[in-house]
Amino acid sequence: MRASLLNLDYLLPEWIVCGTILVLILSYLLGTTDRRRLADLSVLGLVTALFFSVVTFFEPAVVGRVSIGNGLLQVDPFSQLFKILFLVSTLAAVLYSAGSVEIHGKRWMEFNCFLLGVTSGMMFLASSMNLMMVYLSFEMMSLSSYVLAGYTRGDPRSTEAGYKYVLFGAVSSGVMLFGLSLMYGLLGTLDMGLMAQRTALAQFPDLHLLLLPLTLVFVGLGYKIAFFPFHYWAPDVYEGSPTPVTAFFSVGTKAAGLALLLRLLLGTLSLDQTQAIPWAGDLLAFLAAMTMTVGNLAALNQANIKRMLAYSAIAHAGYMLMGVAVLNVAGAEAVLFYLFAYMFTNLGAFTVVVALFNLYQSEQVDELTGMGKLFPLASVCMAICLFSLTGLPPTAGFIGKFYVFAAVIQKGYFVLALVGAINTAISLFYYMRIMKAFYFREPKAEMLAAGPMPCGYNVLIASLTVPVLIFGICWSRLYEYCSTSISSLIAH
Amino acid sequence: MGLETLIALVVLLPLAGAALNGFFGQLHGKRLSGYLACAVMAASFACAASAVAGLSGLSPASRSVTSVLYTWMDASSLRVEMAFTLDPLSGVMILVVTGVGFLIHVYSLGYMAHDDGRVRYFSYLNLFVFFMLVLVLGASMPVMFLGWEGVGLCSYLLIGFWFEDAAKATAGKKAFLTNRVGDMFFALGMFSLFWATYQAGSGTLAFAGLKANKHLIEQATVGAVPLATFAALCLFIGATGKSAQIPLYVWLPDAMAGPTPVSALIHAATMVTAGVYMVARMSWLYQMAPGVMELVAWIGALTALFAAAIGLAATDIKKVLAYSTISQLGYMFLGVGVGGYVAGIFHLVTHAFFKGLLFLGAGSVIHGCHGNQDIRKMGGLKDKMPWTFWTFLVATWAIAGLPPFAGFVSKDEILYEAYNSPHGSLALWLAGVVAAVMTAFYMFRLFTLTFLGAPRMGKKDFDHVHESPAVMTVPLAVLAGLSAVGGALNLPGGIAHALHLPRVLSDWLAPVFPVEATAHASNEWALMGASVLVALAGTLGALHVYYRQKTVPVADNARLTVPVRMARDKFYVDEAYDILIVKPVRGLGRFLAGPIDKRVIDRVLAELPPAVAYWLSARVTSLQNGNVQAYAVVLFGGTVAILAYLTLYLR
Repeated sequence: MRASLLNLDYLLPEWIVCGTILVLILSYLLGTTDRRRLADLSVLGLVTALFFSVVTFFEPAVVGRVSIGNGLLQVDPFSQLFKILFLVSTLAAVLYSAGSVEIHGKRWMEFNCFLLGVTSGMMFLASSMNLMMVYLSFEMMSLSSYVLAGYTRGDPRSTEAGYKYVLFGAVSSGVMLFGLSLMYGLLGTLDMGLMAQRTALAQFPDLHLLLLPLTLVFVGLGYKIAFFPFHYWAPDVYEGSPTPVTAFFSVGTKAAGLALLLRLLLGTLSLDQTQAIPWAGDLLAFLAAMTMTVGNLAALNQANIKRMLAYSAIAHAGYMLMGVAVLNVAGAEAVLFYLFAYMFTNLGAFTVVVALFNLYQSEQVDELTGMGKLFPLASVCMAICLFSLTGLPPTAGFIGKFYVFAAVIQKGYFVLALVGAINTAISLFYYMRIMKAFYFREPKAEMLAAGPMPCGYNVLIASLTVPVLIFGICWSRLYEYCSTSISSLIAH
Repeated sequence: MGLETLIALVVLLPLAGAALNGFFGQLHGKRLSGYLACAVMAASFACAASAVAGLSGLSPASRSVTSVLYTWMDASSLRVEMAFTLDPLSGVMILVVTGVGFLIHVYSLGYMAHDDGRVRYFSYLNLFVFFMLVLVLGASMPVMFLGWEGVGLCSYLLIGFWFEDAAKATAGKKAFLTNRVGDMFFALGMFSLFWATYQAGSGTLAFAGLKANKHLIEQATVGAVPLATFAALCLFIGATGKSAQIPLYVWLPDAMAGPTPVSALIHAATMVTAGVYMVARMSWLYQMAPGVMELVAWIGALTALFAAAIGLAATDIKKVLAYSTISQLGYMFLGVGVGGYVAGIFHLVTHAFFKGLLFLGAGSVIHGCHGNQDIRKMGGLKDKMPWTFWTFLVATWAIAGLPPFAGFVSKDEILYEAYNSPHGSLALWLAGVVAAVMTAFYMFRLFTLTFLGAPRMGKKDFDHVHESPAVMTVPLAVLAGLSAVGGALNLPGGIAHALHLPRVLSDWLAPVFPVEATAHASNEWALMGASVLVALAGTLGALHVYYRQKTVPVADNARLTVPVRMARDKFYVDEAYDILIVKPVRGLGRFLAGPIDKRVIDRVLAELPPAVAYWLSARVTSLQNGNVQAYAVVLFGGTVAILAYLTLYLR
């Protein structure tokens, strides 16, 4: 491990994202108000950051883990893979929000800055190795996202969403902070690396004492990732927020929460190796089962596509929690892979929703009939994404589910696997409702008048869908990267 | 180019052709699609020829080159590569497939010239060749199975090519379903072989790997049966499906619903011989299961007899050829069943020449007669269609087993093996001989009724009969040449010995097959003499009845003797299958669809769970009322519940 106060060059992606925020503000002040130009700037920044994240992912020094700022941050393949994920989803968010009618033109620069603010918070979170740093980056991510949720001030739904998000965010980060401080009190350090050593060498008298702080931290994360029973805010916030924001939340912040959860459970407390805390796995398994069941059942009755996808996002958090619950390497790898599959799939589906909202100002399943005839490309992509969300081959979603279920079954959680399978069947039902509306019903007369889908949206939708198919057919390389990441997390 | 590249090209070129025509055919037009299909076939043949030439440059022991494209499946103990192996056996096969395939593609240019579905046709035809090459070149059983299924698919698509006609679509379905039965057994055989090697810790499905683990397979058993016997039997049942042997032959006559070049390529020259190829490929396995070999030989012999008997009474020009194909395939199985693998493959090659030619000739006749396929309404076409006439004569001569054409040499070798091989017997030889008499008879009957004598169609129709264009007759001529001299590939042992000539095919294939040299028997000349005599007898008999006496088969039942009527009605096998299998299965299906599915499944499984789910859904969402206080209660309640649970857990 390369330890030094400096090594700041390994944080290049973060610097670039933060720099992009400054550049955006400056250029706005200097008179660039054109959405397109601003979008170009953000895209340029994000792509550069993405490039350096990919480069550092492969760098030998990073594979050996680079410590920055006396252990405040750590750059390793695990953090870099997550940064790639964050950056790709932010990139998609910038692109589809650039054309969205929900985000008002004049204030688009601010919107973009907050978006990048969330991203930089998430990126720091993925690298955090110190509880203080964890909390700071967690708040950086959260504060920006509160603003995003309530972004369309004139819309009462959006205001309500922002308000609820802040309230719950405040409560749960308070709970989490309490947990973190208890952890500090028990283990005598904020440094997660040192914590790992202390718990691993059994210098610590009774690991059961960690029960309370861990639970409290879990509640805080459970809120962010939207687990049962901490998910109740999610549907309201997801529905009320502007659609581009919802899409971003359903992928980005969930991923950030999972990154921290995995780092805490497997990296710091080594729950995969020690049998000292046997309750963790069972509890997580129970919550996973509940989360997906509640999410899927609730989605069943939704007539609003956005709200349906919001519940579906809760259900997917449940599937991913399944992989966490097995508390071993195979499960963690599966979760990572699942996240990637889910990112492309969910963003693809949401982009279609955004694009259709732009044309019709509607999100109701019953109003968006016959889209298959009007917008063949977008509808086919939507179909592929919905198949992938259900977990049907040959899509990435299938492979992700396959790995998660394999890990669960290997661990012996047969009931959990069964619950997961039943849930998959339920989810097929409501996903296919959208397909039915798109393909088996005729378009309404007033829908025919809308103009064509803008070319940019078609390109974006297609380029989010193509990876869903590619990783459904040749997934081994991506899975290898996930393995590399997890082993960098585990190895001490 | 390295051999590996060439091998990959041989396979991938037809795929490229199929894709180009399939996806963009409507863009580049109907004319071009045919030329494109022919061009890729020509290129593929050139690659195949140079690959085989390259292979012959290696020492006989090292003549096996594998070209790996990518890893197809990798599931810990099972690793399957998308790999193609060129060895002497697959070398022979790819030459036949691409060579005869190319000729038939060219012929199709003329035959399908007026069809609106040309683009689709050529796309399917190229796709078929691709799958056939995958089948013969596949380095492992799954790859072979991929080809096996793929050719089945293309066969289905092409039999039902004119799918607007319900009968033709049904024929395609029949072929597909019948093959499904065989394919299931093929898969079973494959699984059992994997299981045997997997049990011993070295699970593999590659042909080379399986062969190397022969001893493991020999030791394994399924219940009380040796696994080798079980696997060989399953694979052979698979072969009876694809190669139309008793009891699964019934689809082939119906398959004649497809365009005639398709019948020539798929249902005569290549696909239907896949079973023979597979048995030859797995010869080491069959050597371990002598009982199954005997069964193979007997099924082959009986099919040869049975199908020939039906052929005696058929009156549709393509149906006669179809039964003849079944019968000839029976010969091939007789050959490989008695251990005469070279003989079987040799007959496969010559059969591809003369049967391909016969079908193309029949196609030319049908083309010239504007769709008429009934030989009772033909006759006297000799002068109208000279090219077709002469080439058809060569093919008939060959298949009838008259010297010195190709069919005589290869059939004679099978009969020789049937008599002399350690697995052979007098009874098998006799069956082969009787089938040979019938073959000569029904072939010359067909030939005479079609080309000789006075025309039996209306004068106006007869005036319109015309010779086919050169694009069709040139392939006929080439195939006629091959049918005539193809026997030189593997001269009878005695002749080769006497003239100090090499037996090309035997020497070439020697590294592939188990060495079990049939002693050079002194009865060779006697057997050969007998073959010639029976072929002559059949020929002369047919000429006597149909040329001299000018007999024309009648449709009237009253004037037919019982055996003839039975043969004409195909011995009621289709009807028997219908009563014994199709009807009960349909009945079961109706029962399952009606009372079981509609009453039970729909009620219990399709209506109850959604009702439950919706009920639960309403419960779940009722908590979701938008009230922040309620949410906060749940959040803290949840936290407390988790802590309470954990505290209890730890006590």
